[in-house]
Amino acid sequence: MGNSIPDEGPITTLYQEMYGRMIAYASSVLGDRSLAEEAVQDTFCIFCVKAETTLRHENPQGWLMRTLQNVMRNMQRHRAAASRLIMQSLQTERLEELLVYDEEDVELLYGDLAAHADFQLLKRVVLDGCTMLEAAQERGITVEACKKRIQRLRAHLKRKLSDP
Amino acid sequence: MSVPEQSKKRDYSHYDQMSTAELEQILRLDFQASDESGSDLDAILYIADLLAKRNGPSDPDAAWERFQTQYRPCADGRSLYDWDDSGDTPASAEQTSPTSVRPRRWRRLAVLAAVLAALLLGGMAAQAAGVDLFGAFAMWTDETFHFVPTNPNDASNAGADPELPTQQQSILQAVGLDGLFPTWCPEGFSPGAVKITELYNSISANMSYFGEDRNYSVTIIQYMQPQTSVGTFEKDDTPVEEYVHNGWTFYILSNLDTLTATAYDGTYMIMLSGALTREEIKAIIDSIPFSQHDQNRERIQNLLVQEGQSLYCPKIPLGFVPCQSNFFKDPVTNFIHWSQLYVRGEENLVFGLFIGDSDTIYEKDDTPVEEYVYHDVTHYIFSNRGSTTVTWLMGDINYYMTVTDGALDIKALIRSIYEPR
Repeated sequence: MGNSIPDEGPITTLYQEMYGRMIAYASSVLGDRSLAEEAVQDTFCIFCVKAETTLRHENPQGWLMRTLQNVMRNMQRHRAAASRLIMQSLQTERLEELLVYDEEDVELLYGDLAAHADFQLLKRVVLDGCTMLEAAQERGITVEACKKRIQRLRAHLKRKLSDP
Repeated sequence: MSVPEQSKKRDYSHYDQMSTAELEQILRLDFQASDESGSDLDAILYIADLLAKRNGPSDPDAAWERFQTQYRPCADGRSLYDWDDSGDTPASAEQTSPTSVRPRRWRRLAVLAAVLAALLLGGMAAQAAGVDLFGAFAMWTDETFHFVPTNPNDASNAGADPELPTQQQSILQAVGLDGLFPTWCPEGFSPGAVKITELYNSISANMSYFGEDRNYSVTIIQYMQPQTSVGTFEKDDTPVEEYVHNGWTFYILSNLDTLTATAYDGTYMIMLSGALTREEIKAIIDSIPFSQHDQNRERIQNLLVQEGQSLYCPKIPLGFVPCQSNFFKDPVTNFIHWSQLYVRGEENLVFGLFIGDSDTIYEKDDTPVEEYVYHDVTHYIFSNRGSTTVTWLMGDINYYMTVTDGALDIKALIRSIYEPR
């Protein structure tokens, strides 16, 4: 598992120590093993980015559990909010008009198709209970791209739905 | 896996005797309470360790591989599910206090363990009666009481939505708002079509009436939760008049040549507005049947029958008259709340139920919760601010009753539910 990064050894050890426990905790809360793993992986991502601080914390195990709780709360909160946004969009009479991006973006030559695809992606993650990783793999994109597309569509729908 | 050093100082071995379902429930409760600091992390880690061992090998090597290839490359210090652009609080925990345990949190876990023990003792009998012990646990602190299901993703499906028929009365009946619609209109007016609007937090019915040279409209809105604001009405300097009908207070206000009468009870808002005289608007108000309680009761009974269940109601004592009723069904989640208020002078009795809601929280004071087992059902009795509440589960239905302190013997009321009728 290791590589040449100086902190990698301690991170690997902590991962081995905590992974099973965190999965058990997250599975109990979320009721879904795949979502639980995604929450755990997400937590370790945050841990690694802040490794300079977190590895020197007096209780890195406690730090991981606290962060896992916050990650799960984020997951539940944002999925619930996105679910309401999807329902609002589906109930409006101008759904087709909503699903067209306004921005002139070279990546969005076919703006309406991109928005439709992003809407399907959002529904897959929020309504079908898919993990971001599963949804990304279905579309042959990275997890990061999946997140960015969801963020883009959310911001777009919120702006459009708040227009009179 | 190694046991955290600090946990060796405290004995957590009593958790070894608990079932997997019970341990998972403790973790869920901890999560729900964890937005305050002071959770006993050592206990939680011990329980998580236990569960991990019971669940078998979790293949951390494969998980690490996924972490390195799929997740870590896009790590930016923020959670994957942090979808806001506003830069709100990232998920990382900047402070942990593994040894600081607030007495309240520790007491909560200890009380929960006691509740679990009590439930286990009554387990077999309760399960024979159809109560799913491991489908729900009671949890309380000094301030709140609520049931928590083992699977928060379970949502009771109370049945398919009925088709909307074409006639206006039938349309209103279908959304349960016909009991609040006026049954009379002034001579010379004709009703238009009913327009139903369903949103995630409300359902409304609107109908316009057309006269030769004037119009008015009737709007009824049912809110899922009480609103702090239901809108602002423009008015001129004519004083607002209060008009009471059937326990509802309508406020009649004028704005130039338009009169508006509106009433709001926390669930239903009624609004009449248009080119009407005061006598006409009061006559329209007087024609509202306010028969909501009978209709709502019938709706909930029909829904329960579809699920093969009965409505377990107490015998309402003499002198209490039905006042207000509430029925709400969320069109998205199928969550249902039904309740009926009875009044006898200054005394109130509320009886109701929730279906599909796993997060109902009851406010309580710091007196202990009393468990009253009757008919193989555990009823939780607690008090708050001059009233006493009892709540219990029948399958996935959460029943509750609230009475004014001193008005009634609540245990007698509980027993009356199970008397043959």
